Amino acid sequence: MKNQEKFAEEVINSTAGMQRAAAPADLYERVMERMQIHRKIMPLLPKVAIWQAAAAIILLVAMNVCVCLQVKQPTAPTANNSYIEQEYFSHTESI
Amino acid sequence: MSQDPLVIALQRGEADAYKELVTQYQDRVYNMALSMLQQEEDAADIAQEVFVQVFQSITTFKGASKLSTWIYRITVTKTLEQMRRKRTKKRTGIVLSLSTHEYLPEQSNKGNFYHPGVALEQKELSAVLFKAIDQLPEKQRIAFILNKIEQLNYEEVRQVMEISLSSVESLLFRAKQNLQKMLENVYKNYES
Repeated sequence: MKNQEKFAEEVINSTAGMQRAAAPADLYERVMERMQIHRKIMPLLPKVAIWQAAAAIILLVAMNVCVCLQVKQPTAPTANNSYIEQEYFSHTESI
Repeated sequence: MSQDPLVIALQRGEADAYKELVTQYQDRVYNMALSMLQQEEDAADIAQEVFVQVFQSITTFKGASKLSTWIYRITVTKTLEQMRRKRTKKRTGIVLSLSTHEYLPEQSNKGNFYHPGVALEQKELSAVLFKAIDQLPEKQRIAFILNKIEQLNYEEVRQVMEISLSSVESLLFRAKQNLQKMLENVYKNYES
């Protein structure tokens, strides 16, 4: 085996028999601390989300109502128009 | 549903079970993150995030795989997220330095990672190895670390990475090939 191949093999196998490094001694405490923070924040979030959802629904319903009201306007403009048309045509006829 | 007593206890929210889980798996999680990130502080942060994630998601664990497999999977995911965050930060720094015409000193200190678990006589060689591992493509790096350093067998690597056995074999073969090429170049540079 060439020297460089031998070197490569030696390096690749250099971790054979290695021990696991010990995790930080306070890891459990750090995890529990993160969980405590998480537990304090998370209960607040659903309440905020529910209020936001409720506000969004009310807004959508209000917008829909407004749109419907505008579409269902009374036919007065049509009546006026036909009255105006009548006046116009009668006027033009007389000319 | 999982029949593992520890999983059942965790899903019930028993406090002792949390401690037991961390005690059993902390070294594995920490070492996996350490081998990937090659920085002790980052690895400790990732280990913390992994266990928080495990506790938050334990009710969704159905026992389709071993608990250790599931935990390794979360560790790999969290580690990859951290690596990608760092890469983005580095790119932003480069862009900023180009726009402000300021020279930012190189921040990488990846060159000299001495794994605490490696025997003294092998420390220099293993430092060369970890430097080469750091240059492998992501999937090859994960497969190599899981198999060679964490000592998982091919089937376990397959389950953690959720790929086929032939993909595991292929990744490990290519990882070894790439490492050999890199290390042969290192040797040539030493010689010259």
